[in-house]
Amino acid sequence: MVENSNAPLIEFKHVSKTFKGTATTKEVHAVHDVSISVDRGEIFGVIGYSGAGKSTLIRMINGLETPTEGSVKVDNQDITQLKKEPLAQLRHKIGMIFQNYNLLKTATIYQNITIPLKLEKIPKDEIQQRAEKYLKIVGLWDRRNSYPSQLSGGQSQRVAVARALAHEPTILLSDEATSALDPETTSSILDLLKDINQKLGLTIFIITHELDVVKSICDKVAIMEAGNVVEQGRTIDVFTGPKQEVTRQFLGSNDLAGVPASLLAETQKHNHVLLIKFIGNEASIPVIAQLTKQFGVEPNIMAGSIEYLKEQPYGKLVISIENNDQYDAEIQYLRDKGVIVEEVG
Amino acid sequence: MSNFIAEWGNTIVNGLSDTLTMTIITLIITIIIGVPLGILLVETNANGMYPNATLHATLETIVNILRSLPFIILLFLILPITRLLVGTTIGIRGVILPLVVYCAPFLARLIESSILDVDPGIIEAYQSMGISNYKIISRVLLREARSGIIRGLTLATIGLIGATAMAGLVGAGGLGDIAYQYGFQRYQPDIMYTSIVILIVLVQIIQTIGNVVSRRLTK
Ligand SMILES: Nc1ncnc2c1ncn2[C@@H]1O[C@H](COP(=O)(O)OP(=O)(O)OP(=O)(O)O)[C@@H](O)[C@H]1O
Ligand SMILES: [Mg+2]
Repeated sequence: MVENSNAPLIEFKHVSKTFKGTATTKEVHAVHDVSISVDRGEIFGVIGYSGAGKSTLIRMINGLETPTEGSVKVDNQDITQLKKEPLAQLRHKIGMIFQNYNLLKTATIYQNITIPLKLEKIPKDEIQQRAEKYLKIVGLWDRRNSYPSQLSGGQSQRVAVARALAHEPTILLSDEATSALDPETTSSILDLLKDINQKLGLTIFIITHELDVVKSICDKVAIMEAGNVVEQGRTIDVFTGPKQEVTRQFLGSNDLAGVPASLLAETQKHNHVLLIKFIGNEASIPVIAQLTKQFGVEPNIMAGSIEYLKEQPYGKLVISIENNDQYDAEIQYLRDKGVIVEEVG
Repeated sequence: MSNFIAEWGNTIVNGLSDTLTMTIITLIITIIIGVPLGILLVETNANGMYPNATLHATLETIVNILRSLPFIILLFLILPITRLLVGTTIGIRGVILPLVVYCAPFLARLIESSILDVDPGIIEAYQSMGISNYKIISRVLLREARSGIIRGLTLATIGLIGATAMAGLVGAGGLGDIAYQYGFQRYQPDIMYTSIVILIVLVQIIQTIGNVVSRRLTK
């Protein structure tokens, strides 16, 4: 691929995809007017419920699906305009991993890496070198003579990652690659992807319905609902300031860090309950102390949590402030200090 | 015992060799026709790699018609075609065409179902790597379907041996013919039983080999 570091590596422009109805099925607007751009070296996540159109979206990046409207460009080439041969060339540079791994059952782990390379007519010694290199990266060189049926789900997915990497791609697509795995295995695969992103500079495009995937590795995120991208941006921005109700639901933005509803109702009789969000863990407590100094109120901390968005701490605090006539000024004061404040209704 | 061998040994050996000759020649032609036909049935279907409704419907119809005819009917039904193509309707040469016409659609169905058993995700994965459909079929699908294909071939071979038993009707010989002629028409049960036992052993051997190979290839 041509290096052109300014332009986005993947660019969807007003892309729609409609599946024609048949005698027995209705027409489906799987993707509707989606515009997304993914920069080089980024990990971009798309999150949404089942049937939102995520798989259809990702499959348009490597031409497994063609848009009915709009354009999809990869490295400045319009994927829909490519003829067979250039499309094949481009696909060699776009690796893809799947929920079901899709390994050959009849082939060993080693052969699962080498067979696709052979079919692409890569020289033999080069194939051997790559198989060794990438099986070592995913930590399965020792298991090279095993068959997929002898591996766990996590190991199988590592083989699939190695198979994708062995083409030395610039982009890695992942369609629900961790959805069939337990949380621990999921995080080990995510760590592997993060590592690959950092060490090999791969751009990664991830489809998922799991929030943890987005939280732990995505630089940017798009939220998809019923074919539309309803919100997108830097993960940290979307988490701290979700604009759409769907986004809030999806990200658990309205979640009060475990305060029970009964306690909330009781507290709200004489208090304002506030949800405070902040990035970085130093900011919050001193701000509340300063609030006390300034206004003489004594906020009560009801609950709190700190999560990490790709290593960035992101905190939530639920506090209650006894009803008083300076309430508006107090909220303004907190906002001026740079924390995000929402009154819990 | 040695008397029996001296008297009938030659007949039986000839019969066995006729049966094997018919089976092997027909099997080879059946594979050459049946395997591509099975692949076509899968890939011309709506969700195949080369959807083609007309071709698919045509192939389906032909296969279904041929599959519904008993061999004995087929044998006589296509006599004119056999004469035209092979120049004779008798002997081993005369029976090969009907045997192929009988067996190839059967094998095609078995190939079709073993290919359909391959996870479609695999095809998608290989397409996403930029590998051509032709290579996916020949190097990936057939490979992944291979143990099912071997099981299908075993089944087709055994069916074929059964059909060759009727080849005697057009003078093609074989063990089935011997059992019929000597056992039934001339009432010589020992030669009939001997032929039958040899047929049973033959089928057992083929099934066992098929099972072992298929299991080996499942990995
Ligand atoms: N080939 C197809 N033909 C017809 N409709 C399709 C096709 N592929 C997908 N769809 C429909 O498009 C919509 C979006 O499907 P898609 O697979 O993209 O959703 P998804 O977000 O990936 O869901 P999941 O999380 O369940 O994988 C669904 O309503 C689906 O039924
Ligand atoms: Mg999906």
